[in-house]
Amino acid sequence: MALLGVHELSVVYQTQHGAVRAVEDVSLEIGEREAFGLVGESGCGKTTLALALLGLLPRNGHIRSGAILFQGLDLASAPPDAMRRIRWKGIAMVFQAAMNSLNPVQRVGDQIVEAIRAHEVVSRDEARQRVVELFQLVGLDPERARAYPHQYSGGMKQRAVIAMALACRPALVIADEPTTALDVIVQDQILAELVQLQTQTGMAMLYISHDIAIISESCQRVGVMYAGRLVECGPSEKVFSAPQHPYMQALLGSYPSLRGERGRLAAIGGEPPSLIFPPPGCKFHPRCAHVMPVCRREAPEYREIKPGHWVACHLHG
Amino acid sequence: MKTNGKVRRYLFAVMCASVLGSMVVMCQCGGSQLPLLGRKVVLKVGMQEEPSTLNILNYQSVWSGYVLGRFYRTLYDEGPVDFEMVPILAESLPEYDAATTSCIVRLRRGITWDDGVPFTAADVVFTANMHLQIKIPSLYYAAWEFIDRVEALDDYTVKFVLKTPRATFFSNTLLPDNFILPRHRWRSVVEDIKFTADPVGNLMEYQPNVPVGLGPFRFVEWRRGSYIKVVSNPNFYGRGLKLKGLEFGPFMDEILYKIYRNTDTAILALKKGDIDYIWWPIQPGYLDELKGHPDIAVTTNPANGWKFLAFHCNREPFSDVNFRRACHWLIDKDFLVERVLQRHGQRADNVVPPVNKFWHNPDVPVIGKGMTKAERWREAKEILTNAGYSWVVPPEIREDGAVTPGKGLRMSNGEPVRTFSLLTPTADYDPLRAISGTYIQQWWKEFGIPVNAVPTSVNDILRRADPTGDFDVYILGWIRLPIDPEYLSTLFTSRQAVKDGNNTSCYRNPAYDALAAQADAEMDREARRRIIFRMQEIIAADVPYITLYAEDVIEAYRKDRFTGWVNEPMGIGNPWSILTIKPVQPR
Amino acid sequence: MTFWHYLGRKLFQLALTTLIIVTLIFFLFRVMPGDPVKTIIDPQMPPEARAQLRAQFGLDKPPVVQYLIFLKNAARGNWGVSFFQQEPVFRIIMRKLPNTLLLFTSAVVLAYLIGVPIGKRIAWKRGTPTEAVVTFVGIFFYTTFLPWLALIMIWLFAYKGIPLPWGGVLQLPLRGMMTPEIWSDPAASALTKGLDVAVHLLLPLFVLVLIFFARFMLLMRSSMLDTLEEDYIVTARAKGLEDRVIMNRHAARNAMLPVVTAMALSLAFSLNGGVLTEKVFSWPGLGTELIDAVMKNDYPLAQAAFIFLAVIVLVANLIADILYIFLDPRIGFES
Ligand SMILES: Nc1ncnc2c1ncn2[C@@H]1O[C@H](COP(=O)(O)OP(=O)(O)O)[C@@H](O)[C@H]1O
Ligand SMILES: [Mg+2]
Repeated sequence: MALLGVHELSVVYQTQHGAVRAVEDVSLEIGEREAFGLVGESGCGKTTLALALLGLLPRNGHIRSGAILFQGLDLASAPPDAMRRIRWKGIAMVFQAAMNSLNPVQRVGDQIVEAIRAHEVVSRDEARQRVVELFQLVGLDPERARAYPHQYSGGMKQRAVIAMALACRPALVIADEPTTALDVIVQDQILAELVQLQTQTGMAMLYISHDIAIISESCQRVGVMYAGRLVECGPSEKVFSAPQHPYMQALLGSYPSLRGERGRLAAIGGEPPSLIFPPPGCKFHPRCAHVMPVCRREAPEYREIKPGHWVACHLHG
Repeated sequence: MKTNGKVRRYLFAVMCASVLGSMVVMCQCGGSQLPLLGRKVVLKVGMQEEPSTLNILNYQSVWSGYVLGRFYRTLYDEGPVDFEMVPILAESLPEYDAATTSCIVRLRRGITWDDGVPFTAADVVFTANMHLQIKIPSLYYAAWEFIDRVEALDDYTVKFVLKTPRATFFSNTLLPDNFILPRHRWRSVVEDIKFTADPVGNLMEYQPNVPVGLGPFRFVEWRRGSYIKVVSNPNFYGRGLKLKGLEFGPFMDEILYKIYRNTDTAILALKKGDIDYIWWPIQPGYLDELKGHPDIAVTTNPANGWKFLAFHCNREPFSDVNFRRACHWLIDKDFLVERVLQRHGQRADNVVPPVNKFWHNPDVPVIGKGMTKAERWREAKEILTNAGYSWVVPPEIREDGAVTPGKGLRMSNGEPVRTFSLLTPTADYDPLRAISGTYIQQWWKEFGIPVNAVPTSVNDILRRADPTGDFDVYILGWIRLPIDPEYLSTLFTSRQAVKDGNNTSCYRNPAYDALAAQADAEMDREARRRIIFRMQEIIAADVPYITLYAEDVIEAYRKDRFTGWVNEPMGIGNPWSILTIKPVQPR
Repeated sequence: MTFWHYLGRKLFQLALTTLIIVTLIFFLFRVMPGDPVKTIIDPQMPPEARAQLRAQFGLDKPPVVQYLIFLKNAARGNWGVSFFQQEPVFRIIMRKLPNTLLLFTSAVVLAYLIGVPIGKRIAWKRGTPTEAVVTFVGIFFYTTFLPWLALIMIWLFAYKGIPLPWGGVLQLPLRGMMTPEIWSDPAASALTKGLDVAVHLLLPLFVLVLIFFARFMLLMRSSMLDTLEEDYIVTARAKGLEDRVIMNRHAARNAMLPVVTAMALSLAFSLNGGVLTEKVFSWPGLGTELIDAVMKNDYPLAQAAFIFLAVIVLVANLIADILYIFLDPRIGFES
């Protein structure tokens, strides 16, 4: 059985302009020790999906339907207390804005100690000892655990955040674009370390990124999101070498070489659709090079075209 | 750890609860009825302010008088009800000798100060010499400037020698605020400061811890801002004396002066029984609230004072007496009393109010009383027309009251009357005067007189109300005038029309000045009265002031607590009441 | 910069501000309409008496000279003598200051202890009816006309009384800080007297606390609402911490920072409220003294009372600044 199973999950944000369907009918599975990559344009619902997994959706967002199975529990309907126990111990997260995810008035070490002691019965000293190990693991000077976040550089903060995510030895770590705010050199180092840590510690990882290169290198499987839906999902080497969905094709097509310069997902022509009033049929059809009449009418089914390779496109109907 | 915290919390809660509990117990018994004081008779008086100090010479306000005046005595006083002079520390009325301009005062025997030292002529001489040497501005000029010397003929006879005859010798030197001080207590104080750079300031700063007096009450305790406690003096010499049908006590053991900074809470305190009397006049607005209360009585007495409007007689157009007279005719005092005061007051038609029976001249003509607007307009118009004034559009009034407002009033030289301002106190200080000012503005304007009422802070009006000050017309009031109308000589004489003088109107009339000088020097009461009458007529005719109205003095007291209050003009809160009220026997 | 440097600079600023305030107040009173010598209304005062008084008050010299004399004396600790009480103003103020401090500090402390936790909690419960109601109540007291509120409280608690469940009526005292009957009774014990003052403190304290509390609560609420949007709050929730810990250790701790400063500042704005409270409850404090002195143009007393109140506010702000250093590790000093 997979570690995490998401089944037809839909998340909606209530706004003044209407309901934002940020995640729609998403199903995916992540196995033990697996690294799963999630790619997609900005605003397609990646972060929303991650937050939904932890039950941390903003106040105006809620899970409309679907299930999140994790360690035998449906997180979509878990009582707050159970959810609280899953957090960090079961699923930890490295947030997009690592700069601001540390409490400015608390010593960094204490913030990690706090996380440990919220889930495990250990003495403060034991927890501190754990922090020393974690700091060494992520390449930080353990002495700095007594410092405050403002005394850290950006890269150090990111490392501390990663250390914090690993503190309770979670089964799954979600890393939501963990390096976007850092400068390029530091990004490289940290990414490399993160990948190394994942294999080293044997945890599963949901890696959300723009960075196709890193995902193709380090993730066994990859999912592609477009406008709240998962449009393609399969083993990395398959998806990257032979993308089946026109959206993925367009993305990779505008991207010269996987082995060349690494970079972000390229922009493709046209605008991402509105999530409040999405186009009828396939949401990608206004931008699709292979658009057919049926695409304007009906949403394509998400089906397994080859073993382990799922696509939602009428071309594969 | 956790249990510890719980225990601590529990203890804290218990502590809070017990403190609160005992406070609740206190509140339940601490209100009106305090059983501890059951046996003593205590008069509880509400006061708005407290005395500035315990130094009787630093007599800054009525509040000082209410408290400190109970400890000391003067040689004479204005008697109850009719204000006729009565001996207090003196034994008989003063014996004035015109030939030598001197006066003999015979003292009562057997009076002792609170500390047992006998009161003698030496105390009187000491007090007089202190005034003559140190010259406290507020007292010296009014009461001592004209005294040559004061000597003791024997232990109980004092002789005052005057430089020149001065009528205020009787009303000021022997009377109200010249309290006799104990020589044995004050001599060293006065000696110490006599030759300092600022003897007056230093004398005022002197703070006796416990004033030694010889009055009906003795000082016990003063908690600043909260209360003053005095007890009745068992050795008070006046106990049992009778005067004009009043028998003197005091018939209480203590007076507790409590400070209430605002009338609202004082009224509640009276209703609740926390106090027996509010020692300040209350606004008529509170009457309804008090009427229903079975144990509260309300008294109304006329005031010896008035609100007035003053002209700057050095400035055009007020320099013309005709203009001032016409302005007077246009003011509907009946309306002000009826509508603005809601009848809680009287017209003021004379600078010496009728309540001051001896000095009031009843024959001074009254302007506009009971007359219609048309009649008053006719008078005003006639005065102005005869004096050569003219209008671009003359004011007209028909018998049915319909009015054509006047426009463009011109003086006899053809120049337009300039727009002037009428300074009135602001509504938050005194709504009645503020409203009256607005009405007066309207009445004058309608008649073509270009005036603007300007509500102004009282301090500012007071600053500008100076003979050298910048104003056209202002409204102020004299709330509590002295009984002897000596103020006629200060408010309207030329010598006071200088900076800091009291003749703020800059009214100048040599004939009046001469009368004033004559009145000042007239030692014969009847003769002086005739001159004072004449002066009242002149002021009424020349209108440097328009007296407007006098608000009644409304007071409230608990009739279930004390009875026998002495009604006087200015109210029941007078020294005589304190000496004569008796506790009501509980049913 | 070390802490001592910082403190030194702050103290210097405080001294400078005080001097500016002293100067402003001195001249403000002198340009304010009114003349102390004229407020003595007495037809018996001849011009020469008024002139003599003016000289006695030192008002016969040009304002600048008066100012220099005042500064010279003030530097020596001599704040002048009240025109009307004829007592050194320093002594008058020292007599009344403890009463004001008792009322004000207890009000501020209580309002803090009540307002901050409530503000914290309603922000936490944002969007609920509880939040809406409590916020409305806060705004109501914040904008309420104080004397009106005070008089209603007096009428209700001190006049009508509150019936107690076990019979009897709870009636608080109407005025002041002590019951004359109790304090003037030689037999009354110190405990009774102390409790008596506590009982008198209740009503004015209640009114003042209501107003301060509303201020502090609203301040805390809005600061807390901002803080709750911060990313580290999401992190804290993701860590699986308990709500209580998130609210206190993470949100409130950060939300307190701007509130500390704002509270110290708001003291300055609530001064008039305090002065009015003293007046309505006949509380013998500095505020009442100030009103009287201003009304009578008693310059030495009025300006000294003003300066004292201003310095109290300045010191409160200094304390807030120092507190801030300890609350916010981002303000650091070399050791
Ligand atoms: N709190 C919110 N309220 C309303 N809409 C939101 C909220 N958060 C995100 N969205 C919208 O939901 C969509 C998905 O956002 P997000 O999950 O952050 O995308 P991604 O992480 O892929 O960039 C976007 O269109 C975004 O505008
Ligand atoms: Mg995102």
